[in-house]
Amino acid sequence: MTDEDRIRSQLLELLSEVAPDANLATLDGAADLREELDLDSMDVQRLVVELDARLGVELADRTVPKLRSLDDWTAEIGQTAPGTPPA
Amino acid sequence: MRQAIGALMARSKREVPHYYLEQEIDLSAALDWLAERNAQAPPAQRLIPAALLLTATARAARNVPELNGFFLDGVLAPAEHVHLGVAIALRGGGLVAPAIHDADRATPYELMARLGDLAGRARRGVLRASEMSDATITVSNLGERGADKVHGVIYAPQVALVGFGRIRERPWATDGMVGARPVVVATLAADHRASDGHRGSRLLAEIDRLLRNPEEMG
Repeated sequence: MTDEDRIRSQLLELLSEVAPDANLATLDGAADLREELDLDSMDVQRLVVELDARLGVELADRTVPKLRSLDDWTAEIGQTAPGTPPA
Repeated sequence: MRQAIGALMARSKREVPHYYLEQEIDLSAALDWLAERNAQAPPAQRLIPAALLLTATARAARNVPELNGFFLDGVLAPAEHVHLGVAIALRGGGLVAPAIHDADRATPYELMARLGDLAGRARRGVLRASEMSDATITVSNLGERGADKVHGVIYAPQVALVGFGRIRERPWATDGMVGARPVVVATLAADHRASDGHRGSRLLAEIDRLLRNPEEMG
């Protein structure tokens, strides 16, 4: 499993907790996550908190609104090494 | 549950003489304050804009008693506390509005934590009876994919419902110049037996003032 695959699968696992009734199996990597999974700002905030708590990845607050799709999140997490302070 | 909510809404519409006010609020100071604070905070201590909207509403309600309480047996019974009902849409359909008790005494951070807890339990269907019936005023925040404004139905016997639409960049005129600012439209639906436009305007003006001075809420 590549790093990207691993990140994507961890992300999907966290998303299944944040949006328990969403159908993640058919989620298109390029689709807007907030639209597809009906996430509100509390859900997104929770995702950011869990990414930090569970994966040690701290995303910069100003970056988060720019991350729209699963691909965006996966790429950003991949570029943010665990434990690195955000830019 | 949808039937119960429907019946409550129908009764409110039938029995409560609603009046409606709206106010556009410049959120640039509030969002700048948030961004600066969040940039230096770990994820678990960051705030979302909704936390400030709810805090401002709860604190403003404390100052305008005709909008915080119940209309029962023909009289207004102002409440001693501000238990802020928050309208939460359930994914499968349906709406609940459980209360955050003493919301006017909470910091935005505390309000956010309690809102997260409430929303989680609401979606799992495990709210306490007291949470369901104690709200003294309710807020309906449409969120970042909502419409521009909401004119809601009061949860009788409460006497007011504060609404917030989506925060959007809009043209904003000040000092004779037009620029672009992040703006939210705040609305008030209120029971005309308990208050009038003058008092209702006081509530929206105070919410506006607090949001323009976010450090007062921090």
